[in-house]
Amino acid sequence: MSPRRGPTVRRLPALVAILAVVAGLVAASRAGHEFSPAVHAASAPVSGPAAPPADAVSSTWYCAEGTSNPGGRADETIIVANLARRATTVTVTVLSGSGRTPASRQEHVAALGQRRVVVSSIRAAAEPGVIVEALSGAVVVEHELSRGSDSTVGPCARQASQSWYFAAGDTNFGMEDWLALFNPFPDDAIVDVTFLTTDGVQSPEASQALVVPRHSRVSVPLHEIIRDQAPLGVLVHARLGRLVAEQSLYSDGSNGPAGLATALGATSPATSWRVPTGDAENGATATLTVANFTTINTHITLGVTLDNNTSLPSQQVSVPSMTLSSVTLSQKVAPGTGYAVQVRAPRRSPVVVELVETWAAPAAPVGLATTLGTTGEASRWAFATGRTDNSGDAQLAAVNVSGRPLTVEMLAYTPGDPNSPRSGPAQAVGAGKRAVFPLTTDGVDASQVIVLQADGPIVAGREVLGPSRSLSVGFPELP
Amino acid sequence: MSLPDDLDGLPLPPEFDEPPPEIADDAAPPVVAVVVTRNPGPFLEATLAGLGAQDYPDLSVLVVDAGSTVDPAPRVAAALPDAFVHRGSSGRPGFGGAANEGFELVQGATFFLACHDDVALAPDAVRILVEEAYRSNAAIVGPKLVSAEDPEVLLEVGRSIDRLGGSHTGIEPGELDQEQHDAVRDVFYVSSVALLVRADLFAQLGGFDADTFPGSEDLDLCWRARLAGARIVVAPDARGAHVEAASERQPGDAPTARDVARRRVRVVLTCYSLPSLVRAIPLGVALALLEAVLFAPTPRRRQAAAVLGAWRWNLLRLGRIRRARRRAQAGRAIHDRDLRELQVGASARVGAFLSQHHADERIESLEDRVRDSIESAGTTLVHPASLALIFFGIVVALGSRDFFSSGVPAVGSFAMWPGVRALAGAFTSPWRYTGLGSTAAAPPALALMAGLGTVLVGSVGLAQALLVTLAIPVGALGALRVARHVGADRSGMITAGLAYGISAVARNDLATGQLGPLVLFALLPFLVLLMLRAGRFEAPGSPGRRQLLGLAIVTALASAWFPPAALVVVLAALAWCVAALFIGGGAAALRGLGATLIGAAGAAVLLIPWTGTAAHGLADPGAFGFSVHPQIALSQLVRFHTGPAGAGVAGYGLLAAAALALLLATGPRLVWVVRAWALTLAAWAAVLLPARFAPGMAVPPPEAVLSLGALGVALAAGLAVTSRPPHRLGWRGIGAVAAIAGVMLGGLGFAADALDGRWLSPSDSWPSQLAFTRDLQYQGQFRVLWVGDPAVLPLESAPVGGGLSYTLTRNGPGDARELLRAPLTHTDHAVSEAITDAVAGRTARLGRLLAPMGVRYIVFPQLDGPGGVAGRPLPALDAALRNQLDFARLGSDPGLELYQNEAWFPGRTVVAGRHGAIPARPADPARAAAGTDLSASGSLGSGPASPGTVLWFEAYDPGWQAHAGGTTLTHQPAFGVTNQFRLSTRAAVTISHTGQTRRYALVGGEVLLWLLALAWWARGRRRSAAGEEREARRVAARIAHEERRRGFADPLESDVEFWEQG
Repeated sequence: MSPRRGPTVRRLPALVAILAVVAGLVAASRAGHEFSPAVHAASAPVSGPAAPPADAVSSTWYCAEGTSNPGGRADETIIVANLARRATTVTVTVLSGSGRTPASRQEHVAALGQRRVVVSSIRAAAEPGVIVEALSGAVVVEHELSRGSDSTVGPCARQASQSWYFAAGDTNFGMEDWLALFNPFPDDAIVDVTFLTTDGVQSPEASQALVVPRHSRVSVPLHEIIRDQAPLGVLVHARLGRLVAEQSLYSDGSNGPAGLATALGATSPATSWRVPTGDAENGATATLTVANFTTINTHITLGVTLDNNTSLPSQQVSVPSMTLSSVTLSQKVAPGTGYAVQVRAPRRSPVVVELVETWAAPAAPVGLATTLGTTGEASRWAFATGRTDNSGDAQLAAVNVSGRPLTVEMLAYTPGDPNSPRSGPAQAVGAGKRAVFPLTTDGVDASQVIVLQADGPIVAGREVLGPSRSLSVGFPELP
Repeated sequence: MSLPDDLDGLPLPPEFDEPPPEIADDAAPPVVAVVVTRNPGPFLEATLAGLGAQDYPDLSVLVVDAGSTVDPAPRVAAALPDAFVHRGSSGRPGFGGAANEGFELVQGATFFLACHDDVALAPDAVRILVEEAYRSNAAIVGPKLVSAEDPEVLLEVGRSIDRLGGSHTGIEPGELDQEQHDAVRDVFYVSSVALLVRADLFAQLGGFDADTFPGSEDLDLCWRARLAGARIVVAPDARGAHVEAASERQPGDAPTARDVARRRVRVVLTCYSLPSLVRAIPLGVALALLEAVLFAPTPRRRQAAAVLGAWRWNLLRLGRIRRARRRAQAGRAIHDRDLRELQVGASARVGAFLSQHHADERIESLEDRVRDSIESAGTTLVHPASLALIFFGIVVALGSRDFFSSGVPAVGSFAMWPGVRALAGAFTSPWRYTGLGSTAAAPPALALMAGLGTVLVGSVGLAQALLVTLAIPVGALGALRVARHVGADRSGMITAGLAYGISAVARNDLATGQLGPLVLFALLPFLVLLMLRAGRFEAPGSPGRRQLLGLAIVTALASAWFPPAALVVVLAALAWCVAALFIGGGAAALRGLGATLIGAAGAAVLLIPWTGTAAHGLADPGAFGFSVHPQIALSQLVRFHTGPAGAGVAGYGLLAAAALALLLATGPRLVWVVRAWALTLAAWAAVLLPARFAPGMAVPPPEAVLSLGALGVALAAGLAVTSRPPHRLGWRGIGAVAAIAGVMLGGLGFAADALDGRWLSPSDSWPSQLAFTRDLQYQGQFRVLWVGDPAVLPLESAPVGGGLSYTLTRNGPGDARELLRAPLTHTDHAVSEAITDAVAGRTARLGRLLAPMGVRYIVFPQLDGPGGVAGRPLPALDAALRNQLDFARLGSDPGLELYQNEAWFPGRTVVAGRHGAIPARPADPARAAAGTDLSASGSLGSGPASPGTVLWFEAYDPGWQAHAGGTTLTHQPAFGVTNQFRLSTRAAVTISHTGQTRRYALVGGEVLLWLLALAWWARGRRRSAAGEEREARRVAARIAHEERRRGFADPLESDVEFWEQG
């Protein structure tokens, strides 16, 4: 077909025009924005649960460790704190195995109030897993475990995970190291538990392919599976399903001070850790364990900030791949000095950090405590309780991580008090420094909900000094 | 076959009894031969001479003139002085009407002999026919017809028909008469060329049906006679020499293929019983459609279209057919199955086609077409471009083989098509069952799917596979035609068609399951062609109304599948308007732009009431195809590499070919090359600029817009090849060769992607893996929530925010009824808010939040199908779903997370006791749902239900009504989202929506609108054809006048005959 008649065109202007458009497109392709869809996920720290968003539809807490049968190894009491100015109702559900119907009880929690629920009052079970649900966001939940005269308090979890990490287990003589695996979901989980020791990785057959049935809790006696190891790193990985893992240590006093400690695991290694609750005193031993679960040898940087406005020199610590390194802090800090610890690891080899402290005579009371510290930071930190009971002492510690001076105040809420919260004197805290809020001195009751509030980011923790020892971090209120 | 021994209810002639006697002169029953003529040729004299030479003693001849221009009486008187001549009534009664008119003039005849004016009967023919009528107790008898040109050549010995009325003679073309067919036998019908019929039966049947002329008056008469129980035989000893002068007649007298096809279908619709019609109509339409498709690329497409149009024409005139049908069926004495032995089987059409048998006009037409095609193929096959085209077709067929063997994978919008009834039901339903449901009008695409399924006799899977597979060749054909319109030669046309067909755009549509953009790919070249014609780029003037209507109709068809289609065409027109600044032709470009705007407006009117939902387009653009936030680099864009197809350097081949056109083309071709590039640049810009400068803005899938770019590249490549010098190589020739090489390079990528047989689409689909859920409906109605990256979700997803989307399907993994979802309503936001809450960690009870909506399964696909394309990783969603307390993880493929909602309760349930107090409009619906556990509720069946609160999981709408025991239940929202009804006494509950009548009325209006549009468009088409015919007649008359002025005596020697035959 011959070309139709029509207009003609000069080639050069047309070529120039087309090339100009192409050049414009090339320029446009290098300008403008990349579209990166931001899924608004909860920015939870990998260690320690955060307080739920205030506008949450509902909040759910999982308390893994603890028992509720007579003579159990860790009698469990749930501590629910309502941070809102209106009362709320929470449902406490005890799951005791896939074959049994869960037992639930609704508990009224006053505005800014606290509620303690003994799990055995709902159901007695050797392996209870507890779920606390509230149709509100302003609720935080901790649990207190007690065995004989020893007790400890620590946070419950807000999320399940496929993996959990612990750095400082102890299966030496005289120790019981229990790993509680809680599956609150309606499908079974199959779990592998792998151990890191100073000699390398161990995966005993007894810790592989553990079935955690739906709606049930399984306790694994690590001290029976892998003996005489301290420190002991633990990796819990669910090949199927997801779960909550918590570890408890019990010392019967035959090989060191007696005591009970619990720690919620970390959901992944991280490159930055802070432990705000160091306490050096005569008879006390503090050991910081760093576990490297990666396949890369690494060096971490350890910083210790002392309460006397000084800091220890930074220390490089080598942590070979798939093993642990420990630093005895009590040898570096003078007795009577509180301190905070900061650990930094290279980006490609994140680690897990856990601080274990023991108090032997002449320290009083004697005891055992452990905490993983935290990876998060926030300007408000909540605690469901400050003191486990009014007979003992406790203090809160806040570390300024902002790089500038901050003012930190402690808000102690009184249930039903319209003037609540009552605040103690605010403290000015220099950059990188630590402030301590003694609860007994400030007249804070064990039934009060406490918030540490600053005008910048801080990391806050709690040291229970008696009648039993306990260390833990608070619940950051994340934006 | 069982035929009655006698003619029930018919008075038999006294001469009926056996044995058939030699008829004595004085006992011969009177026979009247009626010869119908119109503008006869020289063959009339031979016909009359044959009748005059008959040895039958009582034969009268009546010549009926059916409107000849010149009175034939003198010629009749000269040839057969005893014959009577009757000038028929004014008008053009046709053969049947004229014959009826003649027979009405006759009194006392026992037999009528209907005769054409171009058949010369042997002297003993009438006698043999009459004798055979008595011997065989036949009501109608026909002779053996041989060629008048060569009496040794057989034409027919009676006829049979196939199931669709297609005529079969069983005689091969050119078959010699060696008495091999000389047995007297029953036939379905005999030709009206010469047909002896008993006068009493003829009267009882009411004679010929005048409306069956041309071509089917004999079939109609004989079929009706058969239905009345009469016997029809052929007597081969009676011979007639047939001139077959139809093709020699004047244009107005010669039957057209369209008229013949229409009358044939009319007879089928008249004579079959209703049960037979139920089978015949879909089959006939399907075959006609297939024939139309097969011959669409050939010059014979008009004949093919005539066959298809015949069905449409008749089905739109059922009122007229009803009268004839009533008459035919009133005399029915036998069942259709009793005639089957006289019909040829269903395979006869194909068999006759393959064995080159002489068959009916349609088969003959097919045969001719094939023969012509083969003859022309011999010359065209040696052309490399033709070989490439054939290779392209083979690759398309091979590349699509899995779509036919395993079905189209339900990826993206390639959702499974349910049955025709389900599709039609979804289209006519007052409630749109997408998302949580809405009263929005259903998309016309559902009606189109149902229509395609109906055409293929319910084979909706085949219809879907054909639609998907034919998109590439149809698009290539369209590009070929556009290239022809802009001046490409044969090589250029084929190059353009191939370049468009092999572009990665359609392959990516296929690989990622994008039905709408794929349909647009197929139709876009035709839309551009219509825009070209309407814009009159080559011949300035105003666009015709018919062109604009055609543009509106095709735009409506494209938009029905893909709403942004109209905008893509407007974009093309805008691109040419901008290009006009550099190359001129602004007026034409503006006309084109105006035409596209009018076409879009017309399409909007044709798609009413669905168009009404567009009012929600700004609030929910995703419901109208604006659902993508493309992230694409320019290097990918220019190769159309937006999906798995098109990788590597092959994609640059087409681009190089198009670029060469800018250097090779000259003159008007260069103008079109620039316009082609304008299309491409506009498409690239339309994809790139929003992605870079408005990343939050949802746009249509890039493949849709890039169809325009691919068309531009293809046209430029075609024009590059056309620009080669004809007889020497030179640098332009080398450039053209390089352009061809570029296209071939692109073809390599095309062929490589065809190897897997499914165009890189997943081998399976998530919906097929979740098919088990369909079997769980007995436990109660439910929904499936698909959540994740919109690129891997089935159907059209609804945005959640932050790159997340969701899709809701009902009672299973979803099907095509949920395509083109309704715009979101405020109730749908409850779903996205629940997902957002879960992802943000604001709840671990997503199951309870979703339970009132009936969500039983939650599906999080990471790929678009097993082994398919991966979506964006969404770890936050993954973590959120894993942390939901009421989600049980089920086993699934590694690319899919599947959860069962333990908090689910049936979508239609009744709750009582403390659970019965469902908040109607809670201040915080999510918190209200989170605090409610109804998972123990059972499904509300059709039997009586206990008093309580009836929950219905569709979005709350005042139109929902529940009735129980004759009363209407109190209706209010449940959880502020769904419906609840208060049931106070034990009774069976029925739930329905009140909008059904209104919906039927709207559908009726829509159908009427389409019929009017198509009729108007077809009328314009007829006018165009009539105009051409008038022009031909005017030319013929002028020539005839000139010849008469010059003294030509013999018409056969005149140029008129030459032109008519030509």
